[in-house]
Amino acid sequence: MVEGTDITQLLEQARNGERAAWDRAVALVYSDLRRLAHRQLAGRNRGDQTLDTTGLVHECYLRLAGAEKNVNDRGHFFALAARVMRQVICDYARERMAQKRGGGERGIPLEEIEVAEVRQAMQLIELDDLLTRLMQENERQARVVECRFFAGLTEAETAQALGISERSVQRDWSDARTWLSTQV
Amino acid sequence: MPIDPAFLRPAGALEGPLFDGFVRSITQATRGYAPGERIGPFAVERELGRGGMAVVYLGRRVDGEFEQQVALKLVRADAPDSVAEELFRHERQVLANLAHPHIGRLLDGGRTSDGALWFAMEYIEGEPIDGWCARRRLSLPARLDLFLDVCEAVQFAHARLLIHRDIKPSNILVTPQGSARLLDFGIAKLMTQEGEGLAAGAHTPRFASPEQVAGRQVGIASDIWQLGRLLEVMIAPDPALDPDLTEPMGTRAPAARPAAIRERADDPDLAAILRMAMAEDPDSRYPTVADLAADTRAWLRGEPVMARGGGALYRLRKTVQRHWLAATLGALALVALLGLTVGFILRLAQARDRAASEAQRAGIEARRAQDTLEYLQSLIRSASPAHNQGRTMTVREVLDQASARLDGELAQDPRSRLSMLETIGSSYFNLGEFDRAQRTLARLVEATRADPQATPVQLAQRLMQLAQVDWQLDAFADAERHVAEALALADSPPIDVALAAQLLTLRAQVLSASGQALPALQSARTAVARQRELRALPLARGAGLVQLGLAASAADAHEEAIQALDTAYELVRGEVGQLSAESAQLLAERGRILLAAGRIEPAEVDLVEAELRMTRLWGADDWRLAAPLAQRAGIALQRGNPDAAAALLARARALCPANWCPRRQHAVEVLRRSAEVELALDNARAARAWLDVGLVLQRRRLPDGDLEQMRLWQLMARVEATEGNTAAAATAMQRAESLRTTLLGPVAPAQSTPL
Repeated sequence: MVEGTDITQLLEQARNGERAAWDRAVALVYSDLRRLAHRQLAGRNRGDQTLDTTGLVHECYLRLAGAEKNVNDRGHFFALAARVMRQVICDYARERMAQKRGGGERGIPLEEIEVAEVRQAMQLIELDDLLTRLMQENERQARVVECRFFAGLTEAETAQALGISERSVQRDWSDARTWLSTQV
Repeated sequence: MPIDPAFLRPAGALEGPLFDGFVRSITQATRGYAPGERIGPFAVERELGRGGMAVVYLGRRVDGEFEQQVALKLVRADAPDSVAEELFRHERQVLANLAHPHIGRLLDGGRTSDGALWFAMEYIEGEPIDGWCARRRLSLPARLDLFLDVCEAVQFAHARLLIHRDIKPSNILVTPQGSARLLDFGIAKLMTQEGEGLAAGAHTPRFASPEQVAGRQVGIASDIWQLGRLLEVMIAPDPALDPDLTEPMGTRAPAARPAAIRERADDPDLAAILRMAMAEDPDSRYPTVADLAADTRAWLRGEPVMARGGGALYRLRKTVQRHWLAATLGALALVALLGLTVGFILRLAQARDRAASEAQRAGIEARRAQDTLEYLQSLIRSASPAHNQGRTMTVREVLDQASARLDGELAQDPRSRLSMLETIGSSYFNLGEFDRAQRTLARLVEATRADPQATPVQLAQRLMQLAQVDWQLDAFADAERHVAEALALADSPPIDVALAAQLLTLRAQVLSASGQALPALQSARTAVARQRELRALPLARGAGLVQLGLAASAADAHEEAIQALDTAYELVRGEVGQLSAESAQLLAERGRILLAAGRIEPAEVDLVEAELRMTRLWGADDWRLAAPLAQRAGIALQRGNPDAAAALLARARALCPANWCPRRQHAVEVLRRSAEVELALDNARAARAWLDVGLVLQRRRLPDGDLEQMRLWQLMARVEATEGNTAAAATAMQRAESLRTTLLGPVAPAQSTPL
């Protein structure tokens, strides 16, 4: 439904800081994820609701980036997609926390699976806030975390996305982890 | 709290329960709604049910307009593209007009902030039809009677080019009074249009026709298969044979038992009906729902059923092929597709007046309707980006293509071509593409003239459609000519009195629009009188009365106008409900007339109400809102609040700009009000600017002048006087006076006729 040229343009605008373009890029990722998830679910037996989520996200990138012929632009696209994923996932985590609070007041006990989900949501929000701080101190390190952690990109893909060497990616990733795990 | 390094691993955010939950949440039908939350103008009360694709809540209207409980269905939809959005809006309107005692009414619909589609439907407290039959241990004839009600509903919709696509027991509720209601009409289709993700799951496995399962195109034959399947589950758990089957059918294993029924020898006739309805090949099924119903009735009366004799069916098919033209698909296609302009009520009147006789013929028409529909669908599918160099086509482009292909692909089949011309013409009309509609309908009229089998009434109806487009385009001479020709046809034996009355109404509409106030009033009075004699159906009378109101108002006979519109509003509201295009536009008109008569308070009530309903029907940026906004500006001005008036007019001008507005009449009115406001704000130069544009537009519309032009000149006289140009002011005043004398005569118009 949305063609490659549209996406290129959209990302161009998003890169230039246009809010509306950014919102549309986020919506695009949402709807594409949803479509892919539906397709995965449809191909399964009833009752089996598990999904290959990492594969899902990767397929989403590939589909969205598919029209991009230029390798350089493809890299840019991955970097942006990583930022979109960060927002999408953190938005969900915050929403989940808000629901938990609402549910807690009504005294509805949480299922075990929900407890795990909420714990992960809390960690994610924490990380998101720290990353925003890291962005000011060392933007490149923060971007590497976005690519590796939120988008699940490989070292090579991350290097391409940020236009740096794989060595730098390794170093940044390791430094960022150290920094993040020592902040209070 | 520091971040746990174990947590911070590659792709960490995409693993674990949180991301699983996220994916689950985006694949669910919609987010959950808590009691009290708003969806459109409704508040959620509680959840009624939940399926893979949709959630249904009980809702209550909260805008204080009137108490109403509704079933709110929420469906997840992906980001809209423009074609889907247009279709959604159009389809929603068609569905909202689908009024039948056995169809659950769609009341409203829209999109939530997170992009899900919602539909508000009449809330029916009832039980699914299979459970009802089983629990009450209904006799077989009683079950078939109930089934026939459902058939009637489906047939009614087919004649309006609507296919259900999801007929199944859980979609048919039986009220405590024992009346069946078919729900979710057209919703399956709206969901399918929304995105490929839903298309696959949009049908219900055990009730999907073979073509749905195969993912092929779905037409009325698919609904016929589903009706057969419904009949099967309604009669399968025969309590006499199987006393323990008292729970609802949907929960049991599907295939085994029905197959047994279909093959059962103890009632070969009933088994034959089921086999024919559910034939694997769509072309081997009953051609129409009417045929399936006829066979069911024959069985009930103990007469031979058609399904058992191949010869009879063969003859039926031949008859269908031979006589389809005799049935006026045309009128019905137009009913289904024609939209929401001031010419609106004519359409409804037509539908209702003809409903009784059409019902008999609808079956035959439905066949042709299916072909037409399938052709259009194929074009809409071809409009997907994949087939068009990656570009999304608009509905208009689809129609342009259809139009261009008519002479090629359908040249061999002149009747299909006629049917397509009609559909395309009315679709253009609906989109406000009046030029294209005019060209297409003119071709249709010529083709009808050339068709030896066309009846005078058909020609008259098509001329009437063309005249409505002429009217939209301000081509009043053409409109008058076409109406006159149609009237001559309708008035010659055998006289079609109802059609003649509608044509008189349309003539009044054309005459008043072209500034001939007194002849228009005369024509409208005659139309209303004829309809009264005829005891015409409420909507037909409503249409006549609206025209009488407009004509009377154009002739400054305000009291007659208000009386006519009051009666019309009562008639129309009773028939189509308050939230309909018809009542919204009627309110806007009544508000305008009340204001002209100086009754400001009731005028304001009507105008605000009209604006609210229009916004709900078409959104806040629809050009039709310009009319009530301009009138409200008039009220603000009379109350001494020119700033408020100016703000309202700025909105109106944005919605209905002078160089673009589909109804130039609205644009002129907005300009005139703008000039009034500028005068009140002591800004004569700006007032003159608006008036100049208004006069140019209005003279282009009606070179001979009308009352609107008179009002523009009166204002111009005030502008000139304000600027101290005494001579120019006198000239302008003279122009206004001479127009008034020409149009209305030196004395006040005649008194009103009783209604």
